[in-house]
Amino acid sequence: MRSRGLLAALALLLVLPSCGGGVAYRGRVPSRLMPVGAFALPEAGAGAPAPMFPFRAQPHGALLMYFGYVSCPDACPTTLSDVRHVLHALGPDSARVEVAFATVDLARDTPLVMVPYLRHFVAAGHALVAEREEQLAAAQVAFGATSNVTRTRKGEVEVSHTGDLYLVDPRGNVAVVWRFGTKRDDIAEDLRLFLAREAQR
Amino acid sequence: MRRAGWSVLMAAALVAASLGCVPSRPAGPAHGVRVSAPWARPTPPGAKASAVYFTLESAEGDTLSGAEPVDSLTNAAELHAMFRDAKGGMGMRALASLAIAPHGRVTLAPGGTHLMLTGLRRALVAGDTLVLRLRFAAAGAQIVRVPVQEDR
Ligand SMILES: [Cu+2]
Repeated sequence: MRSRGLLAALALLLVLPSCGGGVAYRGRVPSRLMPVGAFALPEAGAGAPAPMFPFRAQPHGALLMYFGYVSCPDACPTTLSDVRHVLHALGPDSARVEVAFATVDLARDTPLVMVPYLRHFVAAGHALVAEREEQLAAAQVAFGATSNVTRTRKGEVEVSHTGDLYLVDPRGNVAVVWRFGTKRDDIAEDLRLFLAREAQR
Repeated sequence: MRRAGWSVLMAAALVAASLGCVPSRPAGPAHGVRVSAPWARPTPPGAKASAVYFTLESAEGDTLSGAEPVDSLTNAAELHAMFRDAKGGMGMRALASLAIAPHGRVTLAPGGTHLMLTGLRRALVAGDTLVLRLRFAAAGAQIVRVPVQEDR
């Protein structure tokens, strides 16, 4: 009897810090609800016609979402490499984490280019290639992301894009936003916390 | 006599030992720019661009005014800086040059400044070595070997 009471008290202590919204994520928690679950993009390499991939994690799982492009020499490989390290650090829990990478460079990043690119970093990753600019733009607006592809006079393609990495929950809401440059240990720590909370839901 | 011989030997040994303790000069020209810790990431299939990172140090101060590949793995190397806005947007802009202050140190690193390689002939794999010529305004040209390796 006594040990039960002690256990209950311990359990309460464990649960308390995660109550009341004051969760200590190291990334940014959106101040308003960010629903993205109603949006989806075609997934390359998953069959024909390409099935739509909705922005929603599996039950009790997490979805990591990033917008980038294949010719990106610095930001995208840095982030995807961090994601790979984070999945490794999570160990068996990484099976509950899905990764999706959507290109903002529709003219150059065909499904044939995108699939092997993403697999280099995350073997089971979802390579997303919109069929039309408007389809991409709708998904980006939901995430609060933007991108711009321009061609210079010299014929070089210049791309700017939002460098945030998003954590989407199983309800289809953005739970955490990590700015580019967030330490991979911080991302891993946030994911551990998130997965622990999702496991109890 | 025997004793004197010993002390000469001892003195010689001491001198030799102390010489051995003099720190060896960092690699590179005595008056010039020290280029250290160069690296580039292995590239995913399909990527036609990559980035090279390193640290520059100069006692007198200098300016990195350009770079070009010496090997045949890439077409061109260009100095780029990342820019970010308050809303998380980011992109790159070309830099005409990169100044190193006297006794200063400039680090090229992911998310900051990089030497962008374009026109990759094939994917870069761990164990590859890129060879670049860096041109400095005062120190002149310097050849740098860049190992391709995973980031730590
Ligand atoms: Cu660049």
